[in-house]
Amino acid sequence: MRFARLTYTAILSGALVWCALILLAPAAASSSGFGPLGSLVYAFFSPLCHQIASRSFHLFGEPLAVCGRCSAIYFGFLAGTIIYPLYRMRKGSPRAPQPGRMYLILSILPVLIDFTLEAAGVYDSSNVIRAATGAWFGVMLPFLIIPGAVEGVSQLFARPKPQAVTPVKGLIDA
Amino acid sequence: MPEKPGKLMPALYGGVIMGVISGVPILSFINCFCCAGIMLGGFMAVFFYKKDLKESSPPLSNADGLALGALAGLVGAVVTTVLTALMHLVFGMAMGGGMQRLHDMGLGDRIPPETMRMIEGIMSDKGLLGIAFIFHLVIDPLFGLIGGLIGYAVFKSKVSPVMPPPPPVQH
Repeated sequence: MRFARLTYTAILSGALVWCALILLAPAAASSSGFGPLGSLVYAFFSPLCHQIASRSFHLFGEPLAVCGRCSAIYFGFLAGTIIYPLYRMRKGSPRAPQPGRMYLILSILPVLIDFTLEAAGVYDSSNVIRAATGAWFGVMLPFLIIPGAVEGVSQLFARPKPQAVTPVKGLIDA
Repeated sequence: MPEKPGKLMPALYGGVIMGVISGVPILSFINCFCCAGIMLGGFMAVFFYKKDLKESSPPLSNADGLALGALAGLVGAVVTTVLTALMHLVFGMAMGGGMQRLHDMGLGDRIPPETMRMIEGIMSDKGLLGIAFIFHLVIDPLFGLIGGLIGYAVFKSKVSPVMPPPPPVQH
């Protein structure tokens, strides 16, 4: 139980910090005196996203640190992580079952279809569609990741409880 | 009880896939989709590990997914940095050679100073490699873990449902 809480807290904290950084970039870039900090955060996210301004949502007139699709995935992940304990309580089990490959396919399919059709030039996607499909994937991902991470961390670090030794009467008497 | 196969080789394969995707210029665009290339490395490490598992071995666990993803991430960080350094060297030398030819042809003065500074920057940015290595040392194991967990969810063996015992026959 202790490992479950620790793992969940680590994932939630990580997602919070990650999303805060995405918002920090435009906030810093638009404030006078914090420009270099904004540039640093944009540079941090540059290997992870194309950062095309026309495909990004804007805050204070500046684009977010990642594009609309990526933002939706990360913020969706944060929302899913916040919702996850409620789902687990509803299930009435301290460890909710980990979904399998069908769940993964269902969660990633919309974003893959949108991405592939747009890359193939079949249609022009919009920021709203990119964000909606990304958010769908992002919200569903924690329900796959958190049970696995909780179980995995417990398996890696939890020590097996020492088994109670029942004294054998004859041996003790001897 | 038979032991599980080693994790090092599958993690190495996964890390190399991760590193090649992140380190080769055009391939690295895959990472623009939420670090998909990095996650793929963790995922593939689980795939290779699953292939090594024998029927008599203990089944694949979430802990295996986590460990393989993290290990692949560490290998991936090293491979990415080495490949980036190589690319730097190759392109830097190519740019340097091109610049020399332009100077020999007497066209060196026509290159705008901003372009000159940019090219010189690319050729001498060794400090950036260190920063890139630290970046990948943090990001790759993190997203590798996610890839490993996704790999476990995909490759885990299906548990056959336990059948309840038949009810006692009443006469």
